[in-house]
Amino acid sequence: MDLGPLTAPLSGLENPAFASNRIFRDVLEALSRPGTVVPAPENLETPGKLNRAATGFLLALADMETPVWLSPDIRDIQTEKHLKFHTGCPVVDQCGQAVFAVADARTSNFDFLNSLAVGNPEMPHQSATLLIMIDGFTGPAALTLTGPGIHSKAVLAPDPIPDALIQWAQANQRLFPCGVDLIFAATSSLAALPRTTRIEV
Amino acid sequence: MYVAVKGGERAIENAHKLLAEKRRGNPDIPEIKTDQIREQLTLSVSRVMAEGSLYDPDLASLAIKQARGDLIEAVFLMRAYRTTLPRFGYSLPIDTGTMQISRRISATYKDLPGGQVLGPTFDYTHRLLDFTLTANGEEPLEAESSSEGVDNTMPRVLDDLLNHEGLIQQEERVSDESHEPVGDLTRQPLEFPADRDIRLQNLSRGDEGFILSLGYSTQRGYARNHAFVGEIRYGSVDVEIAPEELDFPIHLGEIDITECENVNQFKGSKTAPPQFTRGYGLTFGQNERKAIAMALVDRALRDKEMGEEVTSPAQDEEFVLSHSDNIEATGFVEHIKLPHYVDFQSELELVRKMRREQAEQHPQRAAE
Amino acid sequence: MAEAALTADQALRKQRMESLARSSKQELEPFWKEHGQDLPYSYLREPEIGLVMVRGRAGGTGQRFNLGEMTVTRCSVRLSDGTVGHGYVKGRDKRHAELAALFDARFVQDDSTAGFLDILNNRRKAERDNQSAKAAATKVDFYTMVRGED
Repeated sequence: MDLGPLTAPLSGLENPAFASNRIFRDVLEALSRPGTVVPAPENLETPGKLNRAATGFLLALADMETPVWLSPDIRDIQTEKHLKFHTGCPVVDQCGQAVFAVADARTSNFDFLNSLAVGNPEMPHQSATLLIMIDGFTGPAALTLTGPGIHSKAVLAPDPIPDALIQWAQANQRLFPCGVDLIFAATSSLAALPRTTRIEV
Repeated sequence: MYVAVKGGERAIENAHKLLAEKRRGNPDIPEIKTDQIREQLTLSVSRVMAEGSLYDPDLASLAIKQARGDLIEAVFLMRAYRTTLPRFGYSLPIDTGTMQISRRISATYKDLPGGQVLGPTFDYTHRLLDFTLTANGEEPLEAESSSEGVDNTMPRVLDDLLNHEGLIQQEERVSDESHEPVGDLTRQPLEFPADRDIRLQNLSRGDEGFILSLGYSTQRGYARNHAFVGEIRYGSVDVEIAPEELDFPIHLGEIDITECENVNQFKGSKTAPPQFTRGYGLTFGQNERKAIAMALVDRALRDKEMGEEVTSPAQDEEFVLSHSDNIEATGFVEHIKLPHYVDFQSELELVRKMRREQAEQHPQRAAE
Repeated sequence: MAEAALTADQALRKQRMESLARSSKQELEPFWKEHGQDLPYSYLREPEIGLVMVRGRAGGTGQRFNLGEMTVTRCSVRLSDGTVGHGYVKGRDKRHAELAALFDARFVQDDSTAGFLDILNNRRKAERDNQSAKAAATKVDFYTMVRGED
């Protein structure tokens, strides 16, 4: 038949209405209180190189109107078909068209960062949300975070954290109200650095 | 300026209870069931689906019941419901040429292949109230059957019959697989100038009364369009979609629709030769009045394309498209009944102040 | 239309999916009892109600436009041997979509289970023929009144 064994679709969220609500609530919490680590869904089939938090995030939030860009190192047929099957989202070649862009902290080339949509002063919401897949939040170098949603300061230690990404994120913060919102997706948890958060190493 | 006013909660709750009681009416009379509405008030259901822009006869029946038969309120309920559902995709364009025909007539050709099929119509009824419906109720009646069915492959009047002389404007054909975007009012706000795809979507979900009056105005000379109904079709068509996970389009089900194609005489202009021009109407369900009126207004709105002078409301797309939606219209018209206490207080102050000033400047007039 | 390019397998599957979509939950349920009652399966995509935007063409044949939406329910299942089935049906009946998906997969496993579709197809044809014959009875037979000398 049309779906060979290599690209056979995997299951999506169980009880999608409730599960995607849960994920939405957790992502909202992570974005409202930058530095807070929230759990990713348990028992979720993950396509290709996507981890659980990134898969759950996309299944809950992507739809027909949110073009998704996958960094070339993590883009494969299975992942693409999985996302299209469960969310109907277009998977695009140009990261500038993406509402959600996904990359891997270990394997991706970060030259694309400056091509992401940052919105404009009239329409600052027309910007991308960037998901970076990492191992966890117990890295050697901690970032110090200040800004809205943070009581005095917060600490986050994504592992790994490429230098190129930190420098870009610091410049991104200065674009406010424009700019990209950044999500760190570890296997079993997730944290966010919205464009409003100031980052010090 | 809007200021939240609290304190009406109990009154609102009780008003809704009273509404529910009034909706039920006299409890000695049996309650109306939604399937009765679906089966016996079919044309109301058609209208609510067309203007709600959502095809689902069961939901439309429920909306009509809940709205106490207020069809615009029912349309509102349909529009609100659809926002709760995800969009799976777009269908392939339906092919009205393969319709399972219940009715098909032409006002331009008497003898035409496929014939004049009257179908379930109020035309030729005497419009006399039938008191036996009250006295004896509806008597189950089996309609007559012919030994053979309708030929569903009958030709289209405009494309297949009028076109062979080359006397009619051509419709530009776009392939089903084309990736050219199709405007969608449920996704992007209305902008001007609006292309024909947007105009047709807007008219199809527009208020029947508004479209009817505009169509009427074009016939009375406010756009100088003399139209004939080339063909009306009512029946069911198949809907297909091509899902991401399959390599072929699949059948979803069939829907009832009404289609009207008008022909208009056209003297020609700087950009076009004398020929017949076309107006198109298409609606969910059985709704011939709306389809004919829509085709009249569609033709009137093609003025720019034809190089015609815009002289009338029905040709002014900004006027037509901005005011056709009865949910937007009812929202704005009816909102002025909601509390504007603070607004009005400031207006009162303003008028008093102006009067004081006037009295100071013209003491004599004030004294009169 | 892309239909000309379908393989024989695809054409058959498309045809069967259509028969399933044109039927109802009430019609399919007894046949599932017969052909798949205790088969274990899991959801790839749980039964879900949504919308499809129906498109028309200006003038019936021209430029495409969006007419309005219709409610659609879809479901995708995986049988225990990995066979995948998809169901898409008009309306809001989740079990109908689920049965359509189950049969879509079941027919791949065992072609002989599809025999009952003939019963459904014949029913649909009888309904359509009946409607069409009634419409045909309303066809006008014009005749000319002869006037003048005989």
